[in-house]
Amino acid sequence: MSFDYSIILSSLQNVLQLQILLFLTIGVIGGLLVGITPGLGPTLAVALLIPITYTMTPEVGLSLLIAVYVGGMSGGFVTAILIRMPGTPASMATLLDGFPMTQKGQAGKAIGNAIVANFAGTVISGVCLITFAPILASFALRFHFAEYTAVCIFALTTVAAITGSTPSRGIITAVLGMLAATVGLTPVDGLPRFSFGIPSMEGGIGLLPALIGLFAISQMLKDSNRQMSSSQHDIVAMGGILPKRKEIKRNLFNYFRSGLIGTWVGVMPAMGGGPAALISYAQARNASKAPEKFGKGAVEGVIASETANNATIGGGLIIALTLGIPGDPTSAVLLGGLMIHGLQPGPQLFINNPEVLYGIYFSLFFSSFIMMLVLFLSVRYLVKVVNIPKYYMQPILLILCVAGVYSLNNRIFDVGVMFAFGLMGYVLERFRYPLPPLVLGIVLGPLLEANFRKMLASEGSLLPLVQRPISLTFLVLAVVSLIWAHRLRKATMLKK
Amino acid sequence: MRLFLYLQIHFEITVVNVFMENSNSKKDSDELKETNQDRWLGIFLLLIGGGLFWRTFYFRTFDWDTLGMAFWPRVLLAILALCSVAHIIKGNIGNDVSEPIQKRGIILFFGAISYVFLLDIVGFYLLTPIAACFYSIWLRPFNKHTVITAFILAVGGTFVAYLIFELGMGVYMPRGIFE
Repeated sequence: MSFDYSIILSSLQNVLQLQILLFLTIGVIGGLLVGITPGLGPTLAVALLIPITYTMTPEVGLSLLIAVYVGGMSGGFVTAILIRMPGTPASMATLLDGFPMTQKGQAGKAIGNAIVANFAGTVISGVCLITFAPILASFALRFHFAEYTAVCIFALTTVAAITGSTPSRGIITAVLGMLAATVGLTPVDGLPRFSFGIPSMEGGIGLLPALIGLFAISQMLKDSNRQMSSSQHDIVAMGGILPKRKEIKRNLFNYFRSGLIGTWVGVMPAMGGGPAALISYAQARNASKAPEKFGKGAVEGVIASETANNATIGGGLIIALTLGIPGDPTSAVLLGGLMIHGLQPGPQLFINNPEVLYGIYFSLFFSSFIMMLVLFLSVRYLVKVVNIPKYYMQPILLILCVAGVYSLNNRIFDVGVMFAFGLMGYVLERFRYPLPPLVLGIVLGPLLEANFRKMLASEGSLLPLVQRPISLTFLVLAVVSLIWAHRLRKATMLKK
Repeated sequence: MRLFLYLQIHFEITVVNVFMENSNSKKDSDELKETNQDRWLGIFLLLIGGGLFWRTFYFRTFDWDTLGMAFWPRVLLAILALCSVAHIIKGNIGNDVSEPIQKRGIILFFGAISYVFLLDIVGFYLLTPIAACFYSIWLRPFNKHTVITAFILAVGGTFVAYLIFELGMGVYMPRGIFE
């Protein structure tokens, strides 16, 4: 790919206009608020903004959409860290260590590192977007059913890393998640399964209601075990916010590895930020010298999850801009935004409208920088949320959870699913069964089933899994990852 | 080849170690308490799984699809059954002791389920403030101040939800009796 420096400079000048910078700031703040609110995500925010951008020039309109996308992807971690409620599915892995850090009085440290990780993730994937977009896009096109099946198997091996000392409990919760995902219309046949004649069940179990139920509602059920007087509520210390230079230096490889994992997962259609964050989290744990600290408040876990989560933005844009294939729902809506402005995504975009493309690249960088600034300036106020007494906070959260979950599909059934998963999460946690594998099962179950069945239908055997180089590579990685996790578990047990 | 041999030997050693640890840990009384809970959950999952497995025989089948839509759930249910049986027989799955399930948590859950059933009949804007008010009062010792703050919170929270979702996003919540 050749670079036309005059076009790059003019695109940079365009983005540096006061009007565009203002729109980027508004977009980022709006996106952050949407990301924080349960039930609302970047997809909805971008979709709502598209009609507004219609009257704007493509540069301004697309900058606004990109800013909302970056803000929306980043905002989810705030509630995940502070109150154990993931604003978006992508921030699910963040709460595994973020919330324990808050409980230990290190909320500021967790949020500070998450902010830097968000910025790093967006920048790493942005650099990949600029330099390797065509190569990565052609790599993504080589993914067929066998490759997707192998990737899903590899992603499922992260269960071993996020389970702790009891793998069979992790397997049970992962299988329960995959079983929950089989409810409703099948991905291959489009026919109802386990719907028991109830029409609402045919719509299936949504990821976000399940996620909010498992983590936020189960926490409410847990907190309701005792009455709290006004003098009794826990005051959580915030600690320092800005990550120390030594800390950033120590985690440089973690940032880099997680950024690349996030970009790679983002390139693959239908994967998204949730699996990226979990895979990255598992790899960070495998690479850590103190894996036993993961799940109890390890900052490395927060960094890995948030870097990978935001790196899917660049990854998603790579395949969306170069081939016109949306990697996730938000990219799909963003492509709609491009088309509304008369721009056709795909290879022709690089030839016919390079200034728009560079505008998108610069918007991505500036948005992530503005996001970092806004979050650092507001974090002291955000963290105060933790110190609001729970008897004030929880009724408000409950109302927002109900309204947010209902707003996803306008279905009361989803609210019921949220509460049912709340009870499930509460009971499983009491019995020391890990919850993250359950979410991983819900995310990966339908992907694995659909690709596995399509592979068998088209190829007639399991052989493509080991005959095709990419799928074989992922299967080998899956085995290595399992052995590595097993060795780590043994080492941790010996340390104890 | 050497790597393969190394992995095989390492795997065998660890399997033996795990077996030894499990048999040793049976002596610990805390873990015996744990075993019962794992066992009860295993029995529960086995029963539920059995019911779901039976249900898969009623799924529609097609000649052109060799696997059919029952294939994947059956694979999952088989894994679940295996793990459940292992939990029932072996026990002592972990070294950590589980916490008892509290009555207040279960009461709250049933309150939440009642809320879901009433939502369509009563409507979001009437039922939610009442439910949130009760929830807030329930979390604290009862007194006049508690009731007033709970009422303000419940009405304020519902109003915020109205502003964000209905006015901001155009999502119409269930109207219930106001329909």
